[in-house]
Amino acid sequence: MAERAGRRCGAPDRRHRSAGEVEAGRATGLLYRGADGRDYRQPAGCVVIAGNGIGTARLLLASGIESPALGRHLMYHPVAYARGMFAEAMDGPAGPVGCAIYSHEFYETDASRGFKRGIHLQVTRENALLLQALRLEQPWGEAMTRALREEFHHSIAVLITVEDLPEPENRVSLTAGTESDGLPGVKVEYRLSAESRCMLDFGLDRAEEMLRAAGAHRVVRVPLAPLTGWHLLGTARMGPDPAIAVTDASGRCHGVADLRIVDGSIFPTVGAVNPGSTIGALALKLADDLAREIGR
Amino acid sequence: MSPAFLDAVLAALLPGDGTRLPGGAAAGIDLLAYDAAASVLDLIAAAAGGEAAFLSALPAARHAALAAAEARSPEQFRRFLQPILADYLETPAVLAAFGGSATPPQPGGRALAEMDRQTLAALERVRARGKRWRG
Repeated sequence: MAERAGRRCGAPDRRHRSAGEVEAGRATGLLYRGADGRDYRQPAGCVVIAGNGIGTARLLLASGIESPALGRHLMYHPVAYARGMFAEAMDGPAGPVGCAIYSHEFYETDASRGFKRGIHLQVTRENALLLQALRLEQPWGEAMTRALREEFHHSIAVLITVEDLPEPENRVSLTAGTESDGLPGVKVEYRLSAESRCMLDFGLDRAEEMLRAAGAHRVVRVPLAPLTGWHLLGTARMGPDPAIAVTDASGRCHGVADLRIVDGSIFPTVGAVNPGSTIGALALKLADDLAREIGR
Repeated sequence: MSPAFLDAVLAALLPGDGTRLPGGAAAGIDLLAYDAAASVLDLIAAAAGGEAAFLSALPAARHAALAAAEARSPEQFRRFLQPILADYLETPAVLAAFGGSATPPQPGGRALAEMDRQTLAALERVRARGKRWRG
């Protein structure tokens, strides 16, 4: 729980409550609840938060931190995919799960396409038999047998991953209620934008072209992949203007001295897939900035 | 629930193909071993008009009874079906019938066939084309 100008709020981790403490507009330490159920205070010259797009926004909002951009501009990497079915055996289930081939041929902005940014294409390994079956409309009976015979070992999937633009309506806020940990819950409001939809549709067309050119006799398009929405980014974005950004370029919170954010929530744009390397690079840069400031 | 009814439901659920692909019974599946079996089997029997009606029904009508039970309670049906599929589709004979292998690739890894001349020639064209992105 952060304290701002004497007001206490809170934020937990999975095992026990922990929070920054802010006094008179300056972060001064950490309040946390230990595994023994007791509350402790750890003084600190600087508090660094790394809760990413949901956790960081929750902590700061629950702490009463005020910033017009805080919690807003939530960005994902939306995913669609096309699966091509081939007459010949493709040996797709062999090898590790993950991306086998990726393409940035259509990654750069091209104004003639009618949308900003581009698409990232991934050719992936085929699903295991069980996963393939569970994705069928009817995963039982003769229909399942027929579908698996047609698809298993005979399909290639091309994923389309795109980059959401920062839109203030996509946001993280707090619920009115209290969770079991005693803190406000999180409400996520997200709607796939028209821009992202255009990107995904453009990518689906390119994926289908690729698969047809490779000999697919049937292509199934999944316009928005279920169980995706990875990479929770942008809800405490960095920038020089406190009116539109939560932190400066060194991750320092505009509203509170000695409070830093070092995670994907400070991304002003969503960046390329995957964001882990970019988050790591940012963390190294911000750690260097902090070390310089404290004279090490 | 009679053994004949259980066998008939299993045969409709996982019929096999009568040749290489074993059905559910041949793969060792016992429906009563799974959670939610009783309630889903009741739904199937009710959809058919009773166990006896299910047993006397033609395959298409049995299929319709399963589909009706699934439509009536899709989440429950899926919870019932998923662990059954996990066991059935991991059975070595079933995997083999679909072209898979029950032998893990560790520790030796998986041998790849040598690339054919046509594919190598196609890749050579790609290499000669050079880098397209930020080239």
